[in-house]
Amino acid sequence: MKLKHLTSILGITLFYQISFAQGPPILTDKPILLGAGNSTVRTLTEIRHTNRGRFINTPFIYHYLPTPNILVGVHVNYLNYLFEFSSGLGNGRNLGDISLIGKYQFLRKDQTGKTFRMAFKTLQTLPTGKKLDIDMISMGTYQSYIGLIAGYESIKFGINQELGYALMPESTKDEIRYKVAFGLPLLKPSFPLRQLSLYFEYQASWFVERRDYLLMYAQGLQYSHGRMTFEMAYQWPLSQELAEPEIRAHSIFLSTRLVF
Amino acid sequence: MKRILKFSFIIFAFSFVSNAQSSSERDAVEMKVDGLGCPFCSIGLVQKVKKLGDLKDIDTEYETGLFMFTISDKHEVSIEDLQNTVKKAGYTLVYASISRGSGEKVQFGERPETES
Repeated sequence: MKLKHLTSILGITLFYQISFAQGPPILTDKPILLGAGNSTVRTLTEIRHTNRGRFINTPFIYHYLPTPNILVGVHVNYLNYLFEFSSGLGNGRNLGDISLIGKYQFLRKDQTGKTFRMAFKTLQTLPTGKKLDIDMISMGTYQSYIGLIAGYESIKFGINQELGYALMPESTKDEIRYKVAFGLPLLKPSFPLRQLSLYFEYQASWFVERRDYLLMYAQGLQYSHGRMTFEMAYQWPLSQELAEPEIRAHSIFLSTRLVF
Repeated sequence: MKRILKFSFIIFAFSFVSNAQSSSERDAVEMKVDGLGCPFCSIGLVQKVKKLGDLKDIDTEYETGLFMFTISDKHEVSIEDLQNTVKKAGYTLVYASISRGSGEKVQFGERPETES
């Protein structure tokens, strides 16, 4: 009986959360683009704690839309690392891997107050960082990622999802990645934009060659005012089967984005 | 003294008339845009529309998709301008009307019925 009540409460909570989801997720990508000629500058600082040490990545992200359905951009990572003494890798700071991103929105179904869109995404990573084996920050190898993003946004319902495959020819870390995000706005929609939202985001990774997996949950808070957005999120693993040094503890994300 | 008062009155009257003219020389634009599912999504549309010229009184009703603003008539904004702007912003224009300061009205599509 208790389980039934708990399930009902969870169901109602989830329905409430997804029924009012709006805005861009913090860690999951979205297929809704912001119009030709617009640019977005973003920082997405991550403080990651693993069994191997603490890593602070301060990337600079720039996105530009040459047409309404094409996005191009660059992600430049800058890493500050502090490995556990036993690893012998020490500490330091250096440029991480640089990634080039491309998105093509191939499906757009608009209706009054709602839209459903899908996009292809590709991320080509260059080995500009050291070979520190820090996922998505400083692998020091070429990487290719292709993914499919789907998003539905309306005044009453919203969800963004991403499914993709990351290929690393010089490593055994090929990965199938799935992300899903729900949002809960805490203020009524208004113009000019002023919105405070909670975000609930899940990320699942399946490392094909190693047969390892990682499932993480992130709780985020986002404040948008006009063209500026400030975000923070706390991410921790719900379940993981990884090599001992790579076991994740938690990550903190701090982000600012400006649309112009 | 009389001459100064007379001159001041003329200046005041002139500025009043010119102000009245400038406020009536704005075109009122109303559009129904499909796909505006969230306030953040409308940033791109607002950015694009602002490039049309000197915009004021911008307002959006997310439930109905209505997007309103006024623009100085010196920009001579047309329905084609609005169609191109909304297309570049990545949305779908369903209806648009421009009420000129001169009283003329041009329209594209049928105005949706709203509760208001």
